[in-house]
Amino acid sequence: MGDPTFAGFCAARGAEVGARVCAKVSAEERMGVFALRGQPAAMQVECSLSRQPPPPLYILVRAESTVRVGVVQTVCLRGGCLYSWCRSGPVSACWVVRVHAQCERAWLERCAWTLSLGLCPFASWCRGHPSVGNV
Amino acid sequence: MVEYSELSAEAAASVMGTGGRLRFNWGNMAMHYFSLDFLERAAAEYATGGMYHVAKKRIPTVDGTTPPNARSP
Repeated sequence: MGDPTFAGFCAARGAEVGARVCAKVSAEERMGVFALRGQPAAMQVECSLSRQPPPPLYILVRAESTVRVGVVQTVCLRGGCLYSWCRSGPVSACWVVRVHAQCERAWLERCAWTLSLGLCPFASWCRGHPSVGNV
Repeated sequence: MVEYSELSAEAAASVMGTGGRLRFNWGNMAMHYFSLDFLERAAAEYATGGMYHVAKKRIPTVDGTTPPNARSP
């Protein structure tokens, strides 16, 4: 499955390697995690959130069979980037729906076409969902 | 990547600070991005050596059994 927003995000940052991640639901969840080799556990990728984290980016993404609302955070790592998002709860199926107004402007402009609600396959559902708000 | 089958229960349950966030929180959803330059460099490096990362997982098979040597996740 390709995610045009993820690909655009990586391309706009000149990333060599990117990985989309999602927060584990529980410690027992059977999902591999990212960590830096040879570093203390505290150096897991989330700790490399840049000194000045960008404002949150609210987005709906399709993640395997479970779709969740998340807050997107950018993680820069040695010239590459990771594109991560935090789970805040399962919702129904939808692609990119809502973007926080203050998130990174330049990136948004380059990826604006993917962020248009008109391109969302479930636009009518998104408009009606209380977690989506106005686009 | 650290497979879930490689994380001890203690490490998986480890949390950071007082916020309670899991220390190993960010899961791989198998969605990756690679530049061609990176892949060419990586291929050249791994052509002359490198390490395979073998993940042994308990995965159901067509007859409903699991391999006897599969590690329990």
